[in-house]
Amino acid sequence: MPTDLSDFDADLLAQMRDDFLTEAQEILDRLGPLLTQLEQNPSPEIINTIFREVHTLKGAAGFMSLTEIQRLAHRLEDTFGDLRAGKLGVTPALIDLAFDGVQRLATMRADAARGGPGVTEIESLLAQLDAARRGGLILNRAKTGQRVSALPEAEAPAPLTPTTESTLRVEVETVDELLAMVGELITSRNALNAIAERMGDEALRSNASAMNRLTRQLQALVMEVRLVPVERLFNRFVPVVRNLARELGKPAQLVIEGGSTPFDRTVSEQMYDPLIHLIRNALDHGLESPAERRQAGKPETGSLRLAAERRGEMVILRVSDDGRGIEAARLRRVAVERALLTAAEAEALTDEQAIRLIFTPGFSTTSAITDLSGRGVGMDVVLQNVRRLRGSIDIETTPGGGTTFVMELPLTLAILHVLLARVGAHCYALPLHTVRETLLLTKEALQTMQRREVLFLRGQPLPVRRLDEWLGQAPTPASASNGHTQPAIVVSLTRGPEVLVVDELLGKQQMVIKPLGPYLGLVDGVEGAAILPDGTVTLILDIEKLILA
Amino acid sequence: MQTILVVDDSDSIRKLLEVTLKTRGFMVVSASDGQEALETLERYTDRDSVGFNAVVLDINMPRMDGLSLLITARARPEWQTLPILMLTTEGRDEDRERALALGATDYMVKPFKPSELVMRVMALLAT
Repeated sequence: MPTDLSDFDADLLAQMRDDFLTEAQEILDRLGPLLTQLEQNPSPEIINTIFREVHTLKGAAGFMSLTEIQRLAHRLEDTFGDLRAGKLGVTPALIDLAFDGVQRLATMRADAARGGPGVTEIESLLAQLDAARRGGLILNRAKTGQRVSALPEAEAPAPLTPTTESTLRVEVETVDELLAMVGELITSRNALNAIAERMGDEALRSNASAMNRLTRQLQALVMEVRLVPVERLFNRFVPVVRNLARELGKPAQLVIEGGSTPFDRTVSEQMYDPLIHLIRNALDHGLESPAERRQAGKPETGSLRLAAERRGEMVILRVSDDGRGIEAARLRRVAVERALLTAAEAEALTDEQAIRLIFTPGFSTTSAITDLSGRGVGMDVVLQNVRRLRGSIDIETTPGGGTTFVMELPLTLAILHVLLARVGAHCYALPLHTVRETLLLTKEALQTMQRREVLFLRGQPLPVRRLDEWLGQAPTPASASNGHTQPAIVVSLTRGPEVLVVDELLGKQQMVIKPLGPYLGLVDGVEGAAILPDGTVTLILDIEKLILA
Repeated sequence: MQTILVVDDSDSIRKLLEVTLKTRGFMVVSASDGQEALETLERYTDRDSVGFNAVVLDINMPRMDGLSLLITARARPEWQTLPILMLTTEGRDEDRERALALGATDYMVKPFKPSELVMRVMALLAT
């Protein structure tokens, strides 16, 4: 029966809805691992816990008038009620249905989060659950033909029952405000540092140094608040892998490593879509059929691995499969077939560049890949998403051996590490995550290849661009053509590394990124602005867009 | 001002109940399971009075569920007449019957209109 929340004003209603959506997500995140545990080690405690979780979900959904979510949760509750009462036994078939239920609930929740009615097709699942309950399955663990299993992460599993911890629930907005303030503090600190250096006053210097230390610690602490263990994200894929493997008829095992690695909350949420696509890809295209695998001498059950590790201020995520791998030759062929490249251009690519063709829009070799929430997603969108989060993605693959997608993502989005460079009279900032290395060029180092300037770096010809020209400034007198050495920055672009020639390298800096606002925000190639220690404003360049614009 | 203890393990429902009662002028303290509710009741009960005018109590909760709390509460003389409104769910008649048998003052079936909660609570307090 729908409930009438018209007693509340619009703001309050929106907040109620958000609260429900958050709670629902948390419940669903717990259900995946719980069902896995139930499968491996059924016990009355786990059955009861699952019962309570779906019961809570049902109740809360009822208050929000999300009747379809309520219906499915109710049916699951009844099913687990029967399990609890001993009227029904735990079987692989039942667990499969439960996993299916969890995934559909997730789909409905996502739909509601986007402002939709929170519905999806559930009639057949409801019917199956009814049938299962009527049939009164006997308590045994009959092995079916193709077993699909999901392993929990290699580390110790999280405790199921909530212990009385001294924790606090804080609104995400409050944390973001705190982080913004810390950011401003850092800007001030940078300015103070510069003044201290200039004035050479000992007392000022030592205090500025103390402030450095304190702001660094404060920043680290506040950033920690926004961090959640990555397993929260990874666990959401447990039902996904399970259901998809079953659908495709390819038994697959999901292994999760490094689940306790901390990850920025927003980055974590934004990585859901790219990761789901990579996982789907791995299962769909990466893993071979059981027959093919047998022939290749591989274990019939395919292996899928989600791993995370922290490396300084970055988090490295890996999605691996032990399937057929990606062949550079095949991608070259497809590129030519689809008229994306000429045969000569395709030949000229290195293997690394050929494999990265996967990220070209329109390249996907199967038609209409839709992700599980119904939207079309391609590898190019995965790349876009990762780059938008200031991350990078690399591919490691061996034909016949499998593929690993390696993503490097920042621990936080609010503070940007940049490399400052002077071009002419202006100072610009380049996001450090796009910078591979810096060099000093001599006139001899630059060569011409097909009328374009290139630099040979470790045997590879890299295109060279003079930033002064690109930014529309007059070339400065002391340039390489006059025999001086000139600094250059090697940046990683989607299509490979390139060399940018600048006038002076000014060092690394930590900055608080400020969006440009409506007037200037649409300029391609500029990501935002930040305040330099001397108080002037510098533009943060998005090199990829700048060069392609 | 009258104070109500709200006990429910669902964060969103707890918040909903809190806001509903607070906007109607009640003071609200909440707990997320029976154990926490028991500790809260004890903390605010002394020789002369019970700290709360009424309790709104969900049944299904971890650690200690609503019915267990009900039994424990009614066994203590100081809480024997404390108005307790039980929240039950549709289709679980046995819960409703047990709740009333164990001493719940009244019950409401979830989900319900927030305004109806207020009416029921006020009715509890009137007696």
